[in-house]
Amino acid sequence: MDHLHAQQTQAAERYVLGELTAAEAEEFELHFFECPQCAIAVDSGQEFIDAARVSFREPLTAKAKARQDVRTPRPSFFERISETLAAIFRPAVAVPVMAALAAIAAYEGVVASNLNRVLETAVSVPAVQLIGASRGDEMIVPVLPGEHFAPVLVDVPPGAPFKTYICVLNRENHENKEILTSTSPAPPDGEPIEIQLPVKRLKDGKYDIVVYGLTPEGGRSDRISRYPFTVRF
Amino acid sequence: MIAAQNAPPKAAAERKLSAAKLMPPAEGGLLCSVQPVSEPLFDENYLRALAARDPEAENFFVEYFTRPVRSKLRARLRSQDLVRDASQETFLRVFRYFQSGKTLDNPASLPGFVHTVCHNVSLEFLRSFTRHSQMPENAPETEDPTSGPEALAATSERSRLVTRVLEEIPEKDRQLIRRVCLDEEDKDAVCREFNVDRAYLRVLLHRARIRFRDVMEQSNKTKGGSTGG
Repeated sequence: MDHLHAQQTQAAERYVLGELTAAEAEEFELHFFECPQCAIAVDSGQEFIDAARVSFREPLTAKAKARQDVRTPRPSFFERISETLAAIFRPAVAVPVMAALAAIAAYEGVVASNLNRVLETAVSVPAVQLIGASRGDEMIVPVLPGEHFAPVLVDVPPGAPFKTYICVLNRENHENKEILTSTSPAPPDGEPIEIQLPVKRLKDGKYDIVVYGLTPEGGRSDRISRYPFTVRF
Repeated sequence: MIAAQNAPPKAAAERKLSAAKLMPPAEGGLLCSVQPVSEPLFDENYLRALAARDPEAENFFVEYFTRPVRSKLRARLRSQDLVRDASQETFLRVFRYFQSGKTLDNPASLPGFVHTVCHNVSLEFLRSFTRHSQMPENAPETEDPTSGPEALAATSERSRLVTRVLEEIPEKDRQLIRRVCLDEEDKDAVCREFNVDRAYLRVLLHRARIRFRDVMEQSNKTKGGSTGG
């Protein structure tokens, strides 16, 4: 990649916005290590975004607020429909119904948007290596504020004759009360299985993960191992 | 080349760098017909100076590579502390490499070499610091992860300047940047909602960061002037 090509393809902006593929990003990185202009472009883009994040978290200054207040927001689609129906059906039932529908739609939109954000954001969350019940004291899995998943690692015995494992999350001492079940292909020898526990399904307290093998008939083998741990928010 | 051998390494490097600085600024517009610098920036002399721990050569090296190293690490490591540590580790490894008597067959490939070292360091840091051992019950209190007063002041200053830039742009564009940068929403969905395409977003970011850089430079000049006077 040369400088002209980097400019024509808006590579610096794409890089900062995370739009380049891994190969393109590496190619561009190689370029900006020898091109001070592109290095400045990337650096200032990253600086701007970092500072913008901080700025957006702070309240608007008086000037911007005044400018925002002057503009009358255009009524939303649901508001306009609601107004029209309210005008037609004077009896007071239509408006609350429409408002409720609008609220549900807005809620669904927020949920979907948050879900997209979670799915598309790369995060680094420390995974806790759990230790089997017979090998030590209880483990503590800390759940960090704002995290959606709490990753844990569980070992499977080397040479276990299963191609797939079933990991079951229980409240401790309630083995018949399964909270979650997940299947995982057998990891390479010596490697653990990583399980992402959804934080919404967890509370402060004791849990265990029981690992079974998936039999050729599709059932569960005898219990292979059990990993007790305590979740702490 | 004989003249270059007699010149101090930094002077040689700066001579070449000044050629790059003489080019018309490419930051003014997205498209520009500026030709890249074809002359290699680093030569054998410079590598020898690095091996001999020449302070000027080392300072120039750090000055030149700080920005690309930091940018690459920022894209991979989220924590500022990790980025700082990984940057230092990258520079240390490169210096150690040359000081141990090793060199490069092609001195012009120094940027590629630094990039590779930086890449390896980032992967090592990712492996080492994204898996933590078990937190014991009676573990000592962890260190406060917030920045020191100096860093906080710098962040606050940058935030003030960026707020100024954001206030200058139309409300719609500000919201677009907010949704993409702060809320990290799906860019395609946000662009659809705002009735713009991805190129618009890139141009918007381009203009905003240019303006931000100008405002930063103005602010630095003002500070320099006021402290100097």
